[in-house]
Parts: sequence; C-alpha cells; structure tokens
Amino acid sequence: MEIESGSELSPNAQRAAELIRDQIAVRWPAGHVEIALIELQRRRQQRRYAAAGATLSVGAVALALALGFGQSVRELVPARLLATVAPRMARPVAPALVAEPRPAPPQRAAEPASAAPGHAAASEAAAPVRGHLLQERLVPRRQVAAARWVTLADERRFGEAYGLLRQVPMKNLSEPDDLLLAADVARQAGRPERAVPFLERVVAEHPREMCAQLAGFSLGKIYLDNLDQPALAARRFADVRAMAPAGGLAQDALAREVEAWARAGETARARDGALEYAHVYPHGQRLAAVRDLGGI
Amino acid sequence: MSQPAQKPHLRLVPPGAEPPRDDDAPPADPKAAVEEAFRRYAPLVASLGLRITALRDDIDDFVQEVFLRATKGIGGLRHQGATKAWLVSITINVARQRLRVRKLRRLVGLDVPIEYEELVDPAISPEDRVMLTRMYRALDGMPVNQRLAWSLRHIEGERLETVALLCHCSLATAKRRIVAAQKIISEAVG
Repeated sequence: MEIESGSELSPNAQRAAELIRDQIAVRWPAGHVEIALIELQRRRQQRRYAAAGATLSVGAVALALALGFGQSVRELVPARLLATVAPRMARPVAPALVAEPRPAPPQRAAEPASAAPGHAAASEAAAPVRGHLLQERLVPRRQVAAARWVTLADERRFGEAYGLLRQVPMKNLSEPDDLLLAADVARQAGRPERAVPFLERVVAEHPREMCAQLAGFSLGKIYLDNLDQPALAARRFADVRAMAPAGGLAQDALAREVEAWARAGETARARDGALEYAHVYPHGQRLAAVRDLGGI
Repeated sequence: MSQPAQKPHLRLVPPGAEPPRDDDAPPADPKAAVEEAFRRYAPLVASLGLRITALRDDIDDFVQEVFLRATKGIGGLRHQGATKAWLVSITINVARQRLRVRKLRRLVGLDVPIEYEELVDPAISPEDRVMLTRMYRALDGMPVNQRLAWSLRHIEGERLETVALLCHCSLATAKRRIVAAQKIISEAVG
C-alpha cells in the first residue's frame, strides 16, 4: 500500500486538521504552572504513601479527625501525611486547583531550594484564588499565535514561527527575552531587517540591562552585514562600548566599529578606532585585522 | 543581503550564573528534573493532549498523569536532551489510555458528550466549526490506534517514522492505520 497516495488529505480534511492545529492550544501562565506543580507533588506523595501501605493509617487518622481529636492528631501525625488525608485541616487556606482571579507569579528567586518551604511560598501565592486551575485557557487565534511562535522557535521552526510572530501585536512583546527571541526568529527566517525594530526596542527600553549590549551588537551586525549601512552600524557598535566599556562585547564592538568606519569611508575615524584598539587590547585577537582596516 | 544566520545568537550570561546544562548527561536530581520538565513542557503536553483527545474538562488531570508517569521514569533517562521526546511518548500513551476508557464509557452509556465547538475561538466561521465537529466525531468513531496515528501524522505533522515510534508499531502498520483513518475521515468531512 502506497502511503503517500493513499493518505493524501482532501481539502476539507486538510482544513479541519489545520483548524485543530492552529486553534487548539493551552496557555499556562507562570503562576498556574507553579500551582499545578504543587498539585503534582501532592499526587506524588499520595501515590507514595499508598504504595507503602499507608492507606489504613490514613483511614485511622481520618476517623480520629472526624471524631474530634483534630488537635491531638496534628501533634502526632507528620504534616505531610496529614495533608494527604485532610488537606483542608492541614492547609486550610491553600486549595491546590485554582484560577480566577489569576495569581501573580511566585517570586521564585526568593524561594528556598528545599521542597517544603517552596510549597509554602507557592501555597501562599495560591491562597486568595478559587475555581478551576486551567479554566478558560482556550484562547483566540491571535493569542494562540502569541503562545505558539515561541514553541516553534524553540523547535527551530523559524519560518513558521515568523509567520505567527507577524500576527502578534508589537505592544504585546515587552520582555527583553521575548524581543530578543523575536529578533532571532526574524533573522533566522531570512528577514534580518524585520529584526531591527525588536532590537531597537531592547536598546531603548532596557538600556541598563546586559541584553541591551547584545541587542546593540546585533543591530550593528545587521546594519553592517545585511542592510549595508556601515555608518549606522559603527554608531551602534560605539553604543555597545559606551554601555559597558569593560564588558564582554567591548573588544569585538570596537573591532567591528573600526571595520564599519572603514567601509563607510571614514578613514580618520577608522584610524582613531584602530589606535584605540591597539592601545587598549595590545594582544587582542583582532589586532592584525584592525591595524589593516585602520591603516596603522 | 538577507542571508539567514547559521545559528542563533549566544545569550549573555551574568557572572556567577549557572553553567550551561549538559544535555547529554542524565538528570542529577530526578525530582528537580521533573519540575523543570513540567515548567518547560506542561503547555506542550496539555496542547498535544487536548488536540488529540479533545477531552477539555480532563486536561488538568491528563497533564498530571503524564508527569506522574514521568516521575517514575525520569531517573532512568540517559540524556536530558531527550526529555521532550520522552514526554511526548508518555503523552501519547496516556492519550491512548484515556481514549480507550472513553470508548468503553460510551459503550456502556456513561460517556458525556463533548461540545467540540467550544474547543476553538468563538470567532471562527460556522462552516469551520461544523467541519471541526465532523472531524472529531469521525475520529471518535475509529479505533484508537488509527486515531492516534492519523492525528500524529496530519495534525501534529510528525514524520512517519516518528508516528511508528510513538505508536509502538512498525512503519508499515503506521501507514496502514493512517490510510484506514483517512478513509473514515474522507467519508465524514468530504
């Protein structure tokens, strides 16, 4: 049986498959992931206890609680075990499955590394909310695009990711990582000129962060290598050095600045740059090339 | 002028940051590995599960089940870089089980009908909604293994070799299942 001929989709079937693929997606905001993780841990514990034959003990504890010996039981029974049988008594204000209003993402950096305190912090974050955990996560097409382009980019399917990225309003991208990823997607999809607005925003909106140096350097490369605007590129490379004169990109930025000035026909500036490079980085890897470009 | 770069940018890492993860190494702490995998891949698992099973109301439970199974096996995972493919494999197994249970429930009259139209954006056209409903009803009517093979091939766009791998069958069997499913779908949606 020949698969390629036998399984070709009719237009209707093709359309239906595309609908399913493009329309059905689940978005998990960061806060929900944390809460779902708590639920996962809780289930894991439950299974472990069950496997260890703790079911009978749990029943006994539940009976004791039902008979009003709650305080004594709390003193005698480990908190984790109590949580499996009587979660409301053990954790009275922290339902595991919740959604509306959505909780703010927990401050992960402040969480201790151990599991138990992490539980507590995330439970507190979950405390004020009620409802169903992943309620109404089915989202409109534009939001699906917003969620899916990142996944496609992670899978290195840059062409498809760029197609979806174009449907995402620019204002929806604000985090520097998202902007840098969007720029990467545009470049990898063969549209480096489309990466420029994303990178310009990183430089403009996050000038004090390290990513601004990376964005500035990428801008310089795009202006120099793809858009044939060496003077603009040289200024971008100079900006990178100004952001962090001792930063990891400073040496490369200076070398590329010399190259850009040379290509722009600004021989005096190229020479100044080359002299500075030779002075600051006397053993720099690009010294020979920089000398050549700067005419020194 | 518009030459695509050969590889993505390197990202700047602040001094003192953790070294890059070695994807060829097994996970050092299985519990932490599951949590990291959850943060990273839960949306993928949920979306894949929802597209294949359409069991919208059970999707939380579905995701939890996938990662509970992952908890048991992640210690034996030899390469962290294989986590995603491994989770997809678990997802397909859980989907197969859920779909079989649902078929059984339908057989004994315990199944709750699914409103397939609610799975998508309300703004899409009525024709598309009808087509989507027909498609899922056709998928519901076929054997689970055929449904999985067809969904992986034509919805998820997997290669035939991957479909065979995920369905635990030979390439020829995977092809047969897809063709059989295709016949049912053609009759249903035209």
